[in-house]
Amino acid sequence: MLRLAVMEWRTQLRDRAVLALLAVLAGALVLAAANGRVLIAAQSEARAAAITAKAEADTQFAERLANADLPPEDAILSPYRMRQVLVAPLPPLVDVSAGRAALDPFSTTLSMRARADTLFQRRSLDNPELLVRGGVDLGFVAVVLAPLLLIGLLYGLFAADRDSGTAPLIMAQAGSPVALVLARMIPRFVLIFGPIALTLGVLLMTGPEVPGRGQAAALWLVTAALYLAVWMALAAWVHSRDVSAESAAFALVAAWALFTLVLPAAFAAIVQASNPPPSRFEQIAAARAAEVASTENYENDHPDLASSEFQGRLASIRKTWAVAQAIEVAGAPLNARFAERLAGQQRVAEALAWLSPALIAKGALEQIAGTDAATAQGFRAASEAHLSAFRSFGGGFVERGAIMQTGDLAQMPRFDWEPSRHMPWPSLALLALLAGALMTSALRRFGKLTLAD
Amino acid sequence: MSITGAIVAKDWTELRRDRRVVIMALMVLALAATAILTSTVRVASYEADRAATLEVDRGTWENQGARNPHAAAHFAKWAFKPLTMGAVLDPGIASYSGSAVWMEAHNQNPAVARPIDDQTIILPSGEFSIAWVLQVLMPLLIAVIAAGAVARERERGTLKLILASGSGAGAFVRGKLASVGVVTAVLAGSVIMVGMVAAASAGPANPLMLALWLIAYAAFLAIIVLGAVAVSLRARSSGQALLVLAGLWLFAVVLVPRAGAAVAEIAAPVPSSEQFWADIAAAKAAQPSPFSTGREAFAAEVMAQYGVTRLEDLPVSFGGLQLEEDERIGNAVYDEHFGALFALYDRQRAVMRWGNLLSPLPALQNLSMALAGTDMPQQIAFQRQAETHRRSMVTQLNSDMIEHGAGAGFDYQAHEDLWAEVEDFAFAPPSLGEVLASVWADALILLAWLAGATVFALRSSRRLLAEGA
Repeated sequence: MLRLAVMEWRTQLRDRAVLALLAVLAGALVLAAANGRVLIAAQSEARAAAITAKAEADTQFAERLANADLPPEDAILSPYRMRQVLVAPLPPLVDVSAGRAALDPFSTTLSMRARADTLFQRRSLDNPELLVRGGVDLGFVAVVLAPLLLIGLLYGLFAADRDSGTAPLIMAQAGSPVALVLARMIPRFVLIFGPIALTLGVLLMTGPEVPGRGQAAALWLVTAALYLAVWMALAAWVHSRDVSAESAAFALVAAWALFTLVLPAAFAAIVQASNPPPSRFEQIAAARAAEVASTENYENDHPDLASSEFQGRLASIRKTWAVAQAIEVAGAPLNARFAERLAGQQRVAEALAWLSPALIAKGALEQIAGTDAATAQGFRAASEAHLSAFRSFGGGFVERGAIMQTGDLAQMPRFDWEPSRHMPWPSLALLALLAGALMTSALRRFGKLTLAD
Repeated sequence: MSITGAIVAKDWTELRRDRRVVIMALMVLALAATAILTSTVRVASYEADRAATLEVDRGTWENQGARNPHAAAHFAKWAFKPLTMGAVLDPGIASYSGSAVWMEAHNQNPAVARPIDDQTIILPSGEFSIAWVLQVLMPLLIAVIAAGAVARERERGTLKLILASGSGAGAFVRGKLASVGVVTAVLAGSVIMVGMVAAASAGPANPLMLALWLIAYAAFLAIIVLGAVAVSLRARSSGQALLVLAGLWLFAVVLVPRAGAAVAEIAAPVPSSEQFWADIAAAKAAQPSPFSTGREAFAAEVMAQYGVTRLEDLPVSFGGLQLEEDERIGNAVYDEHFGALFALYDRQRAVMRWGNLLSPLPALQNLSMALAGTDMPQQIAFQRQAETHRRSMVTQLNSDMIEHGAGAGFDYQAHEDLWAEVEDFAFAPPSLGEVLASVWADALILLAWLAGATVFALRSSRRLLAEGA
């Protein structure tokens, strides 16, 4: 069989159509690698800048509290000078499977004026025209491009020989149909999977050190291999039926389109319809109505301008704090509905994803990469929860009319969120099961073939 | 019956009997129907929501009571972008762009409330809509239908019989083109027509824009039909034709638009939002603020202008003047930074246009979004208009404080009648001429592709002549 596989390998590399397909794959991989490097560099730099800003904010605030010369009328404003920068850790494989990384925020700045619904509002500068078209990453190549290219390479797996009447002759030379089919499949699989693995290696070698990156990459590679194996097994299964080469190609292309394009589109519509999010406009209007109902004048904007006296400024920030609480109370039901609907969407999306191997693989790859929707929502939820604790801390000083001291810094809530890394073992098991079942069925049928067939 | 008519009738019968094609066509039509339904509901509910919010917010604004105009300028107003009827046909960038801008004092804010932030599923290729069905699925369906158009005749051996019958290779190719064209027209035509009716019922429609949208898609689908039949003319077997067409589809429809976006990101990177806002803060801090570092100079300038020697003697509010000066300084900073950001978006679009060398789809996408009113230039127009409105509104509020707040400082309270004088924001979409000016290059590119596909089909049909001979 090894000799046959080597012969197939050489034949493939002499075929101009195969070379054209491999050129498309190579082009996509170069682009995916370049794009991945740009993304991880941008995300690393932005995180580094955010961490620097965080350190500066901490230092400035500590210096402010340590300043014994600060007059009480300024010192009382300290809660409203607090800044905290929240930064999510860099996902281990953001350059490999970008997922929602280009869309979702990974840092934000907290202050007493921040609100849960506006916490990430200034974080979207990326060109929507690029976002709507999507990018090219290794995950896209593995989930979308690679299966169709493999289907193209597997066109000559067996059905074409049966159509042309050369199948008995070739089977006789190969020894057994199973050996023939395996010898044809393995080189084709390697031709597609090999460059993907190589590109992943290049990204790993040239990328930054991120905790857990190597382990995640190994699991990512296993998932991509299993997913491609599903398509290879499906192709073998189709070719093992008594169908023409054209029908086999049609069935495989149709299956690819169904699982990769049609079902995700249908599921997107179902997910949105099942859990439509509340109105963001309504949320804005509700917050504004609450704000205007609880303010009369200038207190909510510039406490330093409102008065130059201690008592005047304290009254001003107390009013601001009361306004903030009123807005929070008014917005809480709508915020809760947003969280509930998004969680509902996530549940429905995860349930429907089991019906499409493409979505199973995409979800698993993004989960391993740390760029999935659940991780992004986790950061948002943790940030909102931390904001609440942060504001309560500062609000306590405002309510008590107490001046914050250096010793109080130790009590300030710290953000130490780490994403919960659940490995997608059920997805991997299902892909393995699917590939195994299809391949076993196909090889059994091939094994029963005789020269007379 | 003419040869062309006979071929169309025969192929139509064969396709109707091919359950695989029928199932695929029904699936595409079902998806198109779902897209029309969901888009119509989405646009209608968005517009109803926008109208209700405007009504509520108008009430909140006008009933805020007497207060300092600058407090009102901080509270400020919001601009909400309307969704045009075209969004039923092609949502374009609507899901990925903000639809609301807070027009507050001191700050030019970006558009927020992106629908994508409230969606968990991101499709592997564009947004689910009629445009997506026509741009992505319809070409694949045409490929499936056209793959066997000539190649299957060659496989069966009927091609030689047809050519030997004296009907002529040219007539045969025309017949095959007509055959695939008619099926495409029936399928795509029904989708487009229902979509247009839905769009027209969603709001006031510009018939010329709809007609141009229709023509753009007709040209794109004609390119696909010509190219697919040409590949079938050249292929040895229908299976081979199908795989080549599927490969071309994957390359031109799935890969090239994404690759264009990826290259644009690398060629003209947008700064991180952290960097962008930090640069703006630094630029503003570097200016002499009339409230701090530049206060003395500004006060001297104002006193000289009014011929007084003490601020207390000014006939106007010095605080109001400070606020207006602060706005003027800030606006210049925002003009520079947002101007550079929007210029980067333009450069990214120019880079993406190079993808048109490899696929007609990016040109069609630009035309489709522009005519539907959901492209980036129109988003930028919305943000620019909102910013113009913000400046005018803040100046109006500052002017009231300047004129009436002398001596009262920030304790001055404007009469609540002032709030009703502040106009609501109303987005004026670009005219058809302005829209076409932004996409004329894409229209030319699409025409060039049509000409190229015609030439390719003609050259391929010459091969058939040689085969017949």
